[in-house]
Amino acid sequence: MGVRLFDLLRTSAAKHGDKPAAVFPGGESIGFATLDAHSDRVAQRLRRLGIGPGDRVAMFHDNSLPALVWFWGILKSGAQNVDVPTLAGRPTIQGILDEARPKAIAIDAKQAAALHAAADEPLRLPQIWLSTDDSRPAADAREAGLHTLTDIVANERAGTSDPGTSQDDVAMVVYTSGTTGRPNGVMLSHRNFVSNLEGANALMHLTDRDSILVVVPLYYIHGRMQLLLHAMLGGTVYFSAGFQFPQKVLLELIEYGTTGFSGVPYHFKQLLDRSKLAQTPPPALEYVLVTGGALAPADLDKLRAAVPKVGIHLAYGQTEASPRITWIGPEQLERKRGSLGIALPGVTVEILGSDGLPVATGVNGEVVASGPNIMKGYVSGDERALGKVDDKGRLRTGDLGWLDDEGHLFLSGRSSEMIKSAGERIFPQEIESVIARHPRVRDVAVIGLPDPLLGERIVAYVTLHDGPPIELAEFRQHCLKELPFVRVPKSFEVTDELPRTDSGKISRATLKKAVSSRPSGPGGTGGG
Amino acid sequence: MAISDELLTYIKTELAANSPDMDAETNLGGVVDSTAVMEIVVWIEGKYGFDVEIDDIVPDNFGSVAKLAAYIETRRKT
Repeated sequence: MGVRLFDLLRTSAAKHGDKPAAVFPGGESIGFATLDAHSDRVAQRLRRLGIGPGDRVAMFHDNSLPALVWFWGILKSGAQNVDVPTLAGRPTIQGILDEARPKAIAIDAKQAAALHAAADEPLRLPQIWLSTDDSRPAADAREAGLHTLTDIVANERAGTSDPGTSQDDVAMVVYTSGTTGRPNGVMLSHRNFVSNLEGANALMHLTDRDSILVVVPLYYIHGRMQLLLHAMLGGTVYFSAGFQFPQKVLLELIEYGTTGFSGVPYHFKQLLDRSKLAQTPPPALEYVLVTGGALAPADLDKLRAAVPKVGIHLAYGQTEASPRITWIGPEQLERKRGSLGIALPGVTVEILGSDGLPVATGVNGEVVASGPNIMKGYVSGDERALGKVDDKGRLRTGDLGWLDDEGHLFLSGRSSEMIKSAGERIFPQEIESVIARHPRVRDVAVIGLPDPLLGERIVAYVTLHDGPPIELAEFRQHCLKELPFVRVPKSFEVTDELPRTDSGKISRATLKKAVSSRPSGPGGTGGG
Repeated sequence: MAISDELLTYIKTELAANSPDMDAETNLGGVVDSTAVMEIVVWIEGKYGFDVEIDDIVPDNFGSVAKLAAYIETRRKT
């Protein structure tokens, strides 16, 4: 049958029963054995509700202890966990729910309360809720069946029961925005994840004495990967109170004494610029892992100087690859500046030219990956029609790069439309749908442009209906009413026309290319 | 205008117009993200004329508008 994700937790629970699997801000924690036992009971409740293999359960939750129990319970029932990005905005969230059609939803009290208070059209949710007692008013108002963790733990019987899930069954659905103009539900199997976790750790050699501080939401695959990896290792995951205050994150690293820390370039830049990382390096920290983009060479040097005893690792991946494709460790990093590393064991990276054939070493082309980590497909079923997976089953990343003679990957351009800004992953659609509601806006396209601090800066391009002159600040205010600050475009540009594809859809890719090739303006470092 | 009122007006107008119910005691953790915190630091430095130290940008000082106002008061006296 092969190892399924929940087998990782079961094995660690047998070996490290009393050890904390997770610790939350304020000191709340849960041991491996308790997490295993509680999630068994959640699985039983789900099964009694008729939810099991082939079904999906949505996870609409901030990082918290119940969220972990729900997550493992969902997997153990044989159902698929669908991560819903809580900040994504209502139309995006509804789109995800409508496509994935979950039979139940794990929802935290905060999200439930927000739904309850919302004046406009409420989200359409499944009628089975996994939550806490605090969600009762919202559940009652919607006549949803509320199943609380307290009730499940008290009333379901102990013991495991195998759902009969195979390694090739889908474990999780993770939504990402590729190059297709809409969010894609990436279906990842147990085998996809387990192969990726094992491949990654064959290179990093982490063990049960390792622990990590998590600063990202678990609905980012980067966060899930850390959780799953430490479940496999039997290591403890510490959850940060959040990344609002980099100095506070440094204090957490020191207080918890984690051996590891993982973040995207923005997190490291913030720790370098806005915490006393260099003056008070966390004494127990042994390694850091940078994912989600390359750290600028100057920042890499600064990081190395700030924490000289800490091993710096980089990884490159895509959600569709569960997620990791390449890795580079501290020994190579100095020698191979700019490299994103070599393919994980079992993963093959090729560079294809415009004719679809492999190019020579050092020649630029599209990065293509194959191996046991490549997704089963999109929920929409059109990954081949969209060209994301080719007829050889390879993942067409859409990213541009080249390989050197030792197989190291160097990237020259990203193609994904998912905007990575300030450590957040943002669907352009969620911002466009807000801007489009402004009465003067005819069409809108939102793209991410390179930014030295944020990674990418969100820029909105609009065409307008006729009318009197309008201050661009008005669009900003319009967005601020509906979006968190980090998701509000840093600049707005009025244009006469937006580029379109042959089928008439607005092409963000063409727009981005056109803007980036301008000698100055928002594409350059001085604009915006 | 009291410092806390100035802060509330600034944050509600420029950073979190989607949180109209926010008051001086509201936990800013759920309202502002790391980029908004940077904006607040720059705004405080410009408006109140002192440098905000890295050590000071922590929840004890920035956790709510009331905490921020108390912090600004203390720093202005020193």
